[in-house]
This record gives sequence, structure tokens and C-alpha cells, in this order.
Amino acid sequence: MVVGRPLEEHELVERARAGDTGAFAALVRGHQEIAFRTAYLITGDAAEAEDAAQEGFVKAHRALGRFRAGEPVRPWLLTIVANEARNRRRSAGRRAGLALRAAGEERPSGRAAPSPEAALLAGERRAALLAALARLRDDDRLVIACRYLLELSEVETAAALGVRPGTVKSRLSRSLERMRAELGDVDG
Amino acid sequence: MADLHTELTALSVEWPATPDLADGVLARIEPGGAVPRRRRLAWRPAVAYGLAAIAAAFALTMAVSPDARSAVLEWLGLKGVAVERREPVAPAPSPGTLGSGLGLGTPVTLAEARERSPFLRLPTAAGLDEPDAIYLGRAAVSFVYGEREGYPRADATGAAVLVQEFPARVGPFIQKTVGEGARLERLRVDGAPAYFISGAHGFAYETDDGVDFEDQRLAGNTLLVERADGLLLRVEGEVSRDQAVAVARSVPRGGG
Repeated sequence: MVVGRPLEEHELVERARAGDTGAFAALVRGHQEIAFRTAYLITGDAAEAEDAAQEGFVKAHRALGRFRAGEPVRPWLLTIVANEARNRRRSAGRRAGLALRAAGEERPSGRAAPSPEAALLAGERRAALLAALARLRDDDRLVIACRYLLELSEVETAAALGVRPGTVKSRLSRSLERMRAELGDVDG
Repeated sequence: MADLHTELTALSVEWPATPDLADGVLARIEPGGAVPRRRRLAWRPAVAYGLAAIAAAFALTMAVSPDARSAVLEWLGLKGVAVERREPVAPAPSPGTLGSGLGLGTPVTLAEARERSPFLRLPTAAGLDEPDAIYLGRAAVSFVYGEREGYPRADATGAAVLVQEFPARVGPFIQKTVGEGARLERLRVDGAPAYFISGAHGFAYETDDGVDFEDQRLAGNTLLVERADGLLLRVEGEVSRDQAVAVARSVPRGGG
């Protein structure tokens, strides 16, 4: 994490509000990855996600005047982008399957490299986890993906889901239960 | 079975490549803006996203203040290089000796260069042989190589490869001007912090008063390495990252 980022962000927001489009472009670049990935989780389609994220940023620019100074930028942007993504999914009338693949390696854990056999088992387990995630209902999958794959905070997850922050914890807990059940079925 | 929470926390996935949305957004929020184009998306390994994230965080911080800039440069590990996001401009190319229009300093022979520059070390990478021209500048020794096998001529310089050696110094003395299409990759060359810049970017060098940056030109792909022996290396040309790394590694270490 870049130290002092919130301060810089607010400075960018102030400049953008004053009409500095370069400052807004910097905000877009700083948040486009999380915005695009959140939209991708919702639409299940990369091109739709790109359109939704772009439209979301354009709408955010129009709404800059209503942005409350001192508020964190990311949840505010995610609310707008996730709304766009949901509108697009609804109008598309169908959901493409979410095609996420496990990356080659797990995040560094500080432990020694696993044996080839252990690595193979871990790879299969990762694939099973993602397959179970893909089989879950949209709401269950989204809350788990936001918290674990995108590592969003509860407030940010609430923004992406379009719900109150207070409901994220209970929803996550129920969704994890369903995922455990899903994995249990597969493992037999 | 391991705890699901732990497993999910350790799980990382491949995402579709994040498109650069800023151009399209700018085109729509600026008066008289054009209709945005849609980019094609592709799957790439997760590591690319980390690099993109570094570039994005970098660009974000660069836009703010000189203080933030030095903080980020320190974070990147290259104190001798400044990068800013701005579209580069290319001055008209000038005819003459290879590299004469590049503002590299005074042309010298190899013997003269050795005599006058204590930190001069020739790269020994295969296929480069001896440089076609050597320039002594105020801050750097520059080796210019004409077209040769495996090293095509670069439009930006008229040469194939340009290798520059700068002595260590506090504060940036190379300024890169990185345009929208440019890509920054952070890497390590024999443990030394480095970065590789591909795509449109400019290169401005220091003037005699030591404060300002006077000129700018388009640069080819560029590798910058800040070595532990106090040498900042710059390798530029129509070279791949691996080629540039090989050239940089072939420059002998100091103290020997």
C-alpha cells in the first residue's frame, strides 16, 4: 500500500471538482482495476464490465459536486460502478458463467516450497473451490468474491452489493455455509 | 479439510486484464470529446496485474506533488530517475555522426573516454562488440551502437542500442516522460532495482545549470538499473526486456 494515499486522493478529488480532468484521470487509473473487477464479478463478462466501469466513472464525474469531502472515494465509486454493472446484467437478461481460474501460486505464506505432489493437490483444491463458487447463487458468490478475491472491506462490499454495511457480515456467513455444503457434495 | 476462510484467504485468481479506462472516460467528460473505443481484452498471468497496479499507483501519486514524487521514487528504489505522465514530444532528427543529435555530450575516442571518465565500463554482451560512437556528457558516458545482428535500428535514435552510465548521485537526473501508451515494469537485475519502460515515452537530460531539463526526445524501450556499485545504467533501443537485461548484466561491476 502506498502510504498517505487517502490524503492524495482527496486532493485529486478537489482538483477534479475544480475542473481538472487530469486529476480525474488519475483517480480513474487509481481505481479502474478494482472497479473493473467488481463489475466483472457482477456481469460475468469482461466487455460488459469494461463498459459498466467506464460508464460508472463518467457518472461519478457528473456526480462530483455531490461527493462529500472527507468521505472515502473507493466505496462511493464502487456503488456507482456496481449499479451500472447490475443494470447491464439485467438488460442482458442472462448471466454468462463467471470464468475465474486459480492463479498458479497461492499468496506467499513464508513457508518452504511444497512438494510437487502437495502442489498438485493444492491446485486441485483451488480448482474445486472456484468450481463451488461458480455454482453458488449470484448473491452468495458476489459477497464471497468481494471479501476474499477482491479483498474489499465490509463497507466496500456493501457498496458493491448495494446493501447496508450492517448486512454484509450475516450475508457472508450464510453464503460461506452454502459454499461449505457445495464443497461437501463434491468431495463426497 | 482446512478451514474455508483460510483457504479462501489464500486463494488468488486470474482476472481478465484491466483495460485502461482513463482515455475513454476523458474523451467523454471533456467538451467536444470523441466516442470512446472499446479495447480488446485478454487473459494474462496474475503477475502482469501486479505490475499494472504499480504503474497505476505510481501515476496516481505522480499527479500530486514533488514530495509525493520523491516518496514514490524511493518506494520504487530508483532515486536517480524521475517519471511523469505527460505525452512526449519528438524534436526533428538531426543528421551527422551516429547519435550526434541526441544531446549526449562531446564525441570522444575510447581511449579519451577511458582517460577522462573513471567510471567507464564497456558492456560485453554478445553481438555488441565495440560501440560506434562514444559521448562524454556532464553526467554520463554514452555508448552508441549502430544496427547489427539481433539489434535493429531504432527510429527514436537512429541507432540500434544506446547504453549510458551515470555515476551515483542523490536526486533525479534522468527525467522520463511517460505517455498514455507506455508501460512500466519493475524488475530486478542481479538484485539491483530496475525498471523497464516500453511504449511511447520521452527522455529529457540535464542542462549545464544542473537544475532544469532542457530537451526531450522520443526514447525506445528503456531499461534503467541502479546498481549497488554506484552506477545507474540506462539501456535504450528497439530491444526486448530480456535483451536489455542481458546488455545491462554484461557491464562489468565496479571495484575491480
